[in-house]
Amino acid sequence: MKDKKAQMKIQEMAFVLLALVLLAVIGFIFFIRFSQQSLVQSAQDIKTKTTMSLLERISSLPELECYNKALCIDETKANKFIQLPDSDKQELEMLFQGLTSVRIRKIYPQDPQNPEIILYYKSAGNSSYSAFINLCRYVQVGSSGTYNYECGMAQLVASQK
Amino acid sequence: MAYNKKAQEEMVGFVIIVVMFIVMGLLLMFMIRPTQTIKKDLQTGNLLETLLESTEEGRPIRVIIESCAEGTASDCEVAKNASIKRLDAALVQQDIIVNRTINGYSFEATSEGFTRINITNGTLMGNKITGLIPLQNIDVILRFYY
Repeated sequence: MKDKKAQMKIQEMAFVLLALVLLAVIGFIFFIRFSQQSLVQSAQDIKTKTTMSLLERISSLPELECYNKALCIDETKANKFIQLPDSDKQELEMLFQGLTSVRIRKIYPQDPQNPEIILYYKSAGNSSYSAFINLCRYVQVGSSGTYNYECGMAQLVASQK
Repeated sequence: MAYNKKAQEEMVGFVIIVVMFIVMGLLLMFMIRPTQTIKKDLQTGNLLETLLESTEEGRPIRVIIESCAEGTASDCEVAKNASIKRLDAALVQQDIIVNRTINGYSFEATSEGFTRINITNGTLMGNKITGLIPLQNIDVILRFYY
């Protein structure tokens, strides 16, 4: 009788310990899941910030930048840039460190004839990063001889190996 | 007496275990609950900034929205139509906009508690990412729902 009671006690203790271990495991799983989510989010934020800073550097090249505006590319300058002879481009290409291509995708106003301006192309990249920029150019207002600096929306896309 | 004390100890132990289960259950419910999180997103902010700096009728949309906040009703309409055109054009390329499939968006410009411009499109449910830019006299908020 005494033995049976002791066995019951041992069983009871074993179940309690099992329940505690189970609770700890469940808690740990959720903790890991939560930590992983925030870690992935942080990694994504860092990647976006790095990309933005790289793309900001490209858009602030004197050969491309707009007058008095950040994150903006002058369309006329960009069109001239792609026509530069290769010898002139080589020096500038040093600035596109580690990138395989840099292009501007027009969003608004859309231009079906010329939807992209390819600034630099070496090879197809494995991963691409993008930032929204303004694509600006001077547009003549009617026949008045005055010009407005009109800015549209575009995406600066850089690819990497 | 000793018998009663032992029973009390057993009860206390049982109560502790029940409390622990309740706490774990609550924690589980909190974790499993569908997330309705508001995340300030860099790319959405970048898109909103670009939208506000793009021009319509020779003026940046930012200036038109500020003029709307000052009471020029016609500018509210101009800003609204210009923003719709740009956001819809951006959504055509939604696969690369924010690396998510967008179900809908809302664009709001509020000043002194009044909503001056309100644009909604698609399904405004589920998770959202937010871009917020405070202008001189008005706050502009863009939310993408995915």
